[in-house]
Amino acid sequence: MASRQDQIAEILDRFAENAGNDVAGVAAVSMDGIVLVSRMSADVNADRVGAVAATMIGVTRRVSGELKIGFPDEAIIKAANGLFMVLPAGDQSLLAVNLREGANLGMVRLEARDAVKSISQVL
Amino acid sequence: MTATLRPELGDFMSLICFQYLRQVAEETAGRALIITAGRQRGQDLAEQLGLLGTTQEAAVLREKLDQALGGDGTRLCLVQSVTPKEDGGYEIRVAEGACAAGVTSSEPFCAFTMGVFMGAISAMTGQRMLGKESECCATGASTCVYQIDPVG
Repeated sequence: MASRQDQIAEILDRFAENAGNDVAGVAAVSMDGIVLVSRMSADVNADRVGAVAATMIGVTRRVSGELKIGFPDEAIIKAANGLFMVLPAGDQSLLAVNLREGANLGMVRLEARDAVKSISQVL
Repeated sequence: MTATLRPELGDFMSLICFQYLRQVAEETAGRALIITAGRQRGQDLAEQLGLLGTTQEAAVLREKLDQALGGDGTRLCLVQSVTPKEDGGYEIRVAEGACAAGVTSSEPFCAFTMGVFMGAISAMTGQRMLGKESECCATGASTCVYQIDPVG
């Protein structure tokens, strides 16, 4: 039987393939910020991105809690040259996605939702 | 430890200030931020102790970590035991940890202290490590116990 890491790697590869060229990199990260599997490009420090992604979810949850607007489905940073999206994948992990400028967010969201569901089933 | 950074006050400050910084940062931004800080400290410590990429006897590792973090070191905690596990991880038992000192909580509370051991062991073994606190003084245990296991 494939290890959990292998299963998650397969999910990330499928996500990247289905979402197409909009995805510059993707990683599965524990809620504590530990990278479980990374498909980020070589010039990205995946460990640091994982820690930031987990902190983004932490901050987002607190903001949502303070505003009483429910549990966050995702957090997105839109920057000049790309986007960064983080989605909780169950209670224990999250999906961090680095997107190219002009990415089709609707399409990526659909694929990302499938990916987080699959990851949460593995963990 | 010799005071080197502040001529008058020395290198130590009260747990009260540490715990305000740590607890309010966690309440505001979540636990990952605190664990990340601990991991960074642990990685740097492993490098300073010459542990990078080495295999250490558990007793030697305990002694080195206790010397660096215990009463003769930065006084983060007393490292009571380091026990290797079959999966390549370690069980770490500490007493008088700075995170949980004087704290009562329904959940384990040692995000920074545990992060230090996650970072140190990760740097030593070259593997990413997950951490789980199986016992915590803040929840009424006599010592704090961290399960540090490789991602797998």
